[in-house]
Amino acid sequence: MGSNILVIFAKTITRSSGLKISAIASINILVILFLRSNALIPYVAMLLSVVASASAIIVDFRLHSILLYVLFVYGLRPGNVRLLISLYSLLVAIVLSLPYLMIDLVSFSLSLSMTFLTALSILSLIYRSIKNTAYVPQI
Amino acid sequence: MEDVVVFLKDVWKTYDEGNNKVVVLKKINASFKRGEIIGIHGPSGSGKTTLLKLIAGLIRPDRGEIIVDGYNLNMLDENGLAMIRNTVVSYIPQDYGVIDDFTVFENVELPMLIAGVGREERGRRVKEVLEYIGLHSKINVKTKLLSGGEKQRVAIARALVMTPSVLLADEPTANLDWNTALKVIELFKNIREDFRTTIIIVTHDPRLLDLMDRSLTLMDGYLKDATYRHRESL
Repeated sequence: MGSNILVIFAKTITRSSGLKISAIASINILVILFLRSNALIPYVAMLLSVVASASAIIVDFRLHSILLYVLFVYGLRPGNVRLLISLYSLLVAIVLSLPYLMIDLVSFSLSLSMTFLTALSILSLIYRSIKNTAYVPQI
Repeated sequence: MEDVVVFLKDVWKTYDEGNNKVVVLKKINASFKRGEIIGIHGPSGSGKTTLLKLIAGLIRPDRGEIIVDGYNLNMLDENGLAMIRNTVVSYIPQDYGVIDDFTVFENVELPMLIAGVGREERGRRVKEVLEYIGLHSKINVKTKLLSGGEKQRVAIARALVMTPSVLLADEPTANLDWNTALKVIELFKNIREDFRTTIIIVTHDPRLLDLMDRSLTLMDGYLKDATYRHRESL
């Protein structure tokens, strides 16, 4: 029984507003990094990436929570849910970390890890709440 | 036991509420036959939804056995329960659980995507089930543009597309006017006739109980047969 995870993944991406927010935030961070005037700016920009990563998930909270709820109710295996959540978080993280790839390779891996873990944690919390209560979590 | 599709034996369920433990279901014993339509009635907080979720394998009981179409749910791990929810039993939540950003087609095909059904087969089955439900003309419409009754039908189509043995509907008529509610119940009766599906409906509306084959009442955690008492009172 091979689930069509990539089809579900693609549908989620096309309906999500969060990824558009990620792309806009990424362009802004790129501009900030280009115009940096002191040594602290890259760290402030990295903090902005983390906030943007959280926002990218929260803005689509309803879409993510109902989709994860339906996938749970209609029997997507937990391992496949984790794969779906990880793929989505990785995509958000890559978009938000692109400025670092263009400017500084060392910061890229740090930004990628931080933004990925932020998105992954929020999506995992939503799924765990659904799994424990079998209800759609309310915000 | 012949033709019994759902069997519950000495099922208990407790929830933690702060420091208190609330026993929602006590010593539930029941069996539901293939092709039966059963209504479960009871006051708010009596555990009706909890009972459906236990049968659906969405939550586990504290004690007792639940057997659905030959599968003992206690013996299954998380992947096993997921398989049951995908192929054997379908749960329709109270608020329909349709994804507003998806079209009718995309909502209905989700259980088949989960099962790994191929694209052509998915398309064929979605069209078939939407024709059966009477929503074929709205196949490419986003569900946020549909009425409450139409959303309910989308939820029923999605639950039906994998032809489960058991259909569980949580307050399917709660947000509908009486005429639309009657149409939904008529649809459930047709599904029972055409697919021999066992349908368990939770409702707070006592008028609907008369339309069921059998009705049960959940009161203070206990499940009691209410068919004859209800019909005598009419």
